[in-house]
Amino acid sequence: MRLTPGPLALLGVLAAAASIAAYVLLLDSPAVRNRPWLYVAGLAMATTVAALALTRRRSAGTLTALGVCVLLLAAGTFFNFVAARLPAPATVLRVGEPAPDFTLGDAKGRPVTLADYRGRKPVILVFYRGYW
Amino acid sequence: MADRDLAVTRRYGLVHVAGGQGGEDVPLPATVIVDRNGLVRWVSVTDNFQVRPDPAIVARVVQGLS
Repeated sequence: MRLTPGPLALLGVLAAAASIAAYVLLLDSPAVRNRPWLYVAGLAMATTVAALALTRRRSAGTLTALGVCVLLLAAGTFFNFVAARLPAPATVLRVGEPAPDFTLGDAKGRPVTLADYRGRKPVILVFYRGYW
Repeated sequence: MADRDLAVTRRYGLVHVAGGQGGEDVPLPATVIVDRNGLVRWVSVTDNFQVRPDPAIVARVVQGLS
């Protein structure tokens, strides 16, 4: 089936929206979450489809579709490759060396000391930012 | 646990200076596995805040500790 330019342009916009929606909806899956370039690739494909529609018919509709796709592609590319990037850590941690000891309050304010787990069980420390 | 003043985060070298939404210091997202002897056995620090270690890999590393 050969799509006419109108539906083809619409398909491009829908594919762009689907790329973003699919990534957000599947964030709980590490396989998806840890490959954020997938949504950028999806947006690039969507933009290609919209560009193809425009080459077949130059109209307000196909121009708008391509414009939307290009904007989303630019935003997605900037977010993944610039905004989401973090600097290299000044990590003092080396595998095989002792983890620096600390005491912090747990959710109920009771002090927890890392050294208390020595000889008892392994510890997984997760540093995260609180709001993302 | 809450590292309110980032004291532990700093001791671990995991501060992202002015990385917060309001320009405040925040931790670099990181996962550290400490074994029963108190030694660091595995470290993951992400360079993209969308990407975090797969919990299945973390679990496998912990299970592999003697």
